[in-house]
Amino acid sequence: MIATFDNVAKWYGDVIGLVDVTTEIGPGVTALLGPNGAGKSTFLKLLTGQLVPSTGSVSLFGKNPFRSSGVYRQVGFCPEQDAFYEDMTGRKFVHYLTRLHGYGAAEARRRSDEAIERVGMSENAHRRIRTYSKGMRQRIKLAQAISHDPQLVVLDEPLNGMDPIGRRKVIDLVKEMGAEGRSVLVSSHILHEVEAMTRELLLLYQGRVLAEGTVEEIRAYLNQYPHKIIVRAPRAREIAGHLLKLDGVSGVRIDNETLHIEAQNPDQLFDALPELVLQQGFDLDAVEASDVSLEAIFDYLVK
Amino acid sequence: MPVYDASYRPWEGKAKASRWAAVAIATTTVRRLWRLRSIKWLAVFCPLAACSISWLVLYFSYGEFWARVARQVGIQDVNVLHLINVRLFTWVQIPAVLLAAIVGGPLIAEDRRSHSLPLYFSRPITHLTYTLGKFLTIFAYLSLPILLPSIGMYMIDVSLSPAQGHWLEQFPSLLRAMACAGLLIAVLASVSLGASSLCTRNNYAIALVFTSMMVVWGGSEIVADVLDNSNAALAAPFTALTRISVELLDLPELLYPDALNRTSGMPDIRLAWMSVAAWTAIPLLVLIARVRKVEVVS
Repeated sequence: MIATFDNVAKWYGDVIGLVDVTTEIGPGVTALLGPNGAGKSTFLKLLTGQLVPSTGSVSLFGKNPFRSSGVYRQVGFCPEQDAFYEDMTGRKFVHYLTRLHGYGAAEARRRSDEAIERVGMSENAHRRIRTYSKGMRQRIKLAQAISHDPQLVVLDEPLNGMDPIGRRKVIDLVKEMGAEGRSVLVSSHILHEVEAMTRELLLLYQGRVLAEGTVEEIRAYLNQYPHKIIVRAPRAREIAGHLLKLDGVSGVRIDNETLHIEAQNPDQLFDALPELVLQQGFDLDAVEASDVSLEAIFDYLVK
Repeated sequence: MPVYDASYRPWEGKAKASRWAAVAIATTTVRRLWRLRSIKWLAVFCPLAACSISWLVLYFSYGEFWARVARQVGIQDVNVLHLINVRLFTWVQIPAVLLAAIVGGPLIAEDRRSHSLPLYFSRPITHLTYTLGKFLTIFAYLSLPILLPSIGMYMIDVSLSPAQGHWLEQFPSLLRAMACAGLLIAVLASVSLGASSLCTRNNYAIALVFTSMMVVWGGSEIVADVLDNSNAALAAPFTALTRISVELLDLPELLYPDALNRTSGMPDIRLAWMSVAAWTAIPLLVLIARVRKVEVVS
């Protein structure tokens, strides 16, 4: 595993940052998800050695990140806040930070140019950072995080303030890095952004790990909440009558030609629907599960 | 199982902190600061002025002028280079404090204010490397008005002297002058970096460096006069450095005219060393404690 948290807790005086967090970060893209104040930044600061846990231990590449600065050769960190020397150009800024990894000037220049190109900032890299828009700043921060080819990339709210095109580029880049076999840990509180990047989640809420795994896995654990399925069909009322006879269906609400179905066992429903269509000759316009979205799961979890 | 792109290879070298990062920090910061007009002016004008004056004095009255000065204060056998260096270290103190404040004040304060510390410490560098990088930056700038003129004057002296082997004869003088310059730079660098680590605004850091040095200097002189005790003046780093300089450059008599009003006479050399050590060590400890602060609060 790239990083492990073992019973980690962090307090800021009387304020709880994280409580009893035990988790592992492996290869691929993992989203660190939670509302503001959930403990995402504390989690990332502990991972990158900026904080020391009050109890428990954090391990990064098998070492304590607070004690072993050498492990950061394999880590790229993109902080949430703007952390720049505004008078520097984007290229010099990335070059400077790449040099701190021990590369010579020429090698650092090559790597920083590559990273700048990868985040789509080549055209604006010669400009001073003080002239950059929020989106450009985010991309330059991202470039400095990936210029040394790290195995673990930690991105704290990387899409904040980005325009849709920049957002798309960064999402693609994150997915690309995950597909290359790197670990990418992305924190965000915007669900649809996270959904666009990965299905692997670590949900934090009030300093605790609420759930971890893929969206589908987490939803499967939440059996006390009936699955919500929407069926659109012209003969909605007739279909509802048939569906209510199924054991797994606990309720159906009809809204014109739309059925809002609550099912404890959605697989049974999905098995039965084709049979109904064939036997009764119903036409179905659409069948969709409405609560396997991240937002729905998150709502269930924080209730 | 996902199929990973084979083009990426994780880094497999030793997980050690980068050794040369301090040099990278220093060179980049020196270049960044060089854009500031006030720093350029101070860093360039100070050594140029010092060297020009020294050269003129040496050229037009080689030996004679300084020998006369020395005779006036009761020194018979004088090394011209020593005399000039002692005077240089006295003249350069105020502009050097100003330069140290302008260069050193913002060095860490700016990183704290701009939240850059997490960017540094999420890289393979230690807190010591970071501090060393900043120290080298200020050392580079302070060398211009403090160290460079000493070397320049040695070279002028050697080039003007008709005696063969004069360069070898005067070499120990150069080393002594460099030792004095090094002490002055160390104190100024420590104080300015220590003050910088306490502030988050550049101007506050600059003001803190300058006023702390000046207030202590003026205050200690007043206390020394009131108590009629020269040792009290050693609380100020510059007085202590001057005392050490005249000792290292074999000119302790030079301080007598300054100390005439105080019946206690010459300040104690051991106290001077202690004062300089304290002015270097205490700010350094503050700096290390602030930078090594368990949590990088940004």
